[in-house]
Amino acid sequence: MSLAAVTQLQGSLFCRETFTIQVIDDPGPGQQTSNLVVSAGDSFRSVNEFLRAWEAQILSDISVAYSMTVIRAGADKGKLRITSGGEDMTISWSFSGDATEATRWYGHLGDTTDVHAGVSSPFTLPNPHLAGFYPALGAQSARRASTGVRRGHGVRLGSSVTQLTLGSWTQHDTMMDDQGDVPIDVRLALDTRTDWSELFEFRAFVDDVFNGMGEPFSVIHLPESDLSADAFTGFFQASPIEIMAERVQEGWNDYLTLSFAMDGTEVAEV
Amino acid sequence: MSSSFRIDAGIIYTPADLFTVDVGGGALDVSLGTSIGATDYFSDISASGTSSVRNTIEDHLNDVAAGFTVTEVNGRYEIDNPVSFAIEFPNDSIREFLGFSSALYPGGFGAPVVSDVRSPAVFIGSRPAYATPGFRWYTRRSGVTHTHGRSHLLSSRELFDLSLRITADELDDWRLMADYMLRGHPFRFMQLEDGADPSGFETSAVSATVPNGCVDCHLDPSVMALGDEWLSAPLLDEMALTIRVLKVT
Repeated sequence: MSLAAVTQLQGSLFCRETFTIQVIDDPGPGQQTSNLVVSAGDSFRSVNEFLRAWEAQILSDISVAYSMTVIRAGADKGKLRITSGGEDMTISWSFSGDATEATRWYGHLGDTTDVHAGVSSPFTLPNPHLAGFYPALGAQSARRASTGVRRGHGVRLGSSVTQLTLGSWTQHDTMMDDQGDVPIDVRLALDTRTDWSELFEFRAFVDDVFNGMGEPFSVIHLPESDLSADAFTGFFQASPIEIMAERVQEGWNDYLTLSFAMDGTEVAEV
Repeated sequence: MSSSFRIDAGIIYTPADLFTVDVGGGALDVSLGTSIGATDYFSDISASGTSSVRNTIEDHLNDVAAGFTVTEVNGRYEIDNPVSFAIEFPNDSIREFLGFSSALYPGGFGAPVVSDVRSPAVFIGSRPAYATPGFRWYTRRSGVTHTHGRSHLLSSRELFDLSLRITADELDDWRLMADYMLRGHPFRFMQLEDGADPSGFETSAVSATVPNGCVDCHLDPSVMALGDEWLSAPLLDEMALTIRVLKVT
């Protein structure tokens, strides 16, 4: 249970060409190897979801529980930390498959080198991953604003109740073929007591989402004293997207909020 | 928070924005040249910059005759030379921009000539003001994911909401400044007093580490009018307004 609210924003990941990431646990005689195949078309809602999949692959391959986390505060904020079961490890991002796509991925995740041979645990990637925003304060809110339900694809108006015409409504229309919109309101709180770096970090986050792997992005919000986080994945609702900082009464320059709306879905926390 | 603020509007020079200077050998033209780009504006209006209006005029006057000095304090320009001189402004726009009500004939005394009024392109408010930043991303929806509009980024801009308070006494001067703004002139908003700068204000741009810095901007294209709202008691002679501006890049 967390005493303070914690909020993370992460861009999604999308794979264009198949490649394989290899992790060698305890390199040398008796080493164990785990290969994570990232296939063309694979997507992950967030960096966290990708890390969970990678952990699961390693556990499945070599029965060693690796821990992969994103550091949320301090000088290493936004960097990925890989902790083995205690042994050294070798990480090869482009072990096989499309090396260009592997390079795109490890660059996005904050690495600069394809192979890290025999590094000790825990190992922290050199740079923060792109499209990540980790404010010091939890969001004031991240919640569903309303819920709409759409008619399913191919449902004929009046077909089961009152047949108005014999005309067909079954032409495929993506606007009708949807699970429904879930507008989500997010109100972030920025700790600007030291400076306004968080404000500009948020701007960099949005830029990175679009310039990196593209929408959607995820908001993972753990409310104060709550047991589990709410996670939302979606798209910015507005176009153009306009997000103005808002001052808090008598907060001067020390406390700003940022509000935006997204269309998306509530997903299981990862 | 700041206790007062200053706004400097930019000027457009055209070939017509020349004036004539006579230092005893017949009138000679002084042309300011042209300034068209938005960033040129700001090198020209910066009170501390070497390319400010003050500096530009001084340079051009000294092309005609040595010894001219031009200073600017609180929007008033002062032109001086130990040698007697006379200045005429064939074009009123530059004369009004500098705050002179007529041509200058010091009469050979070498005394400095100071603007009759503050330049209408400089507004100094006595009440607090602040800028609150924000961002705008222009996107294009691809529409490939059903109703969830996956978008592509076209461009992004930095915005500011300028929150100002103006007294009734300042209203006339404010109207002159608003006129420049509504005509599309870029302007510099300064919100933190700094006695070390010739302008009297902090002239570093707003950034993560300078939250009270200055903003080089122009009105958001959606702003078609500037309206103020009179405050209630006890501030009955004051009004407040918020202006959406785009940072000039």
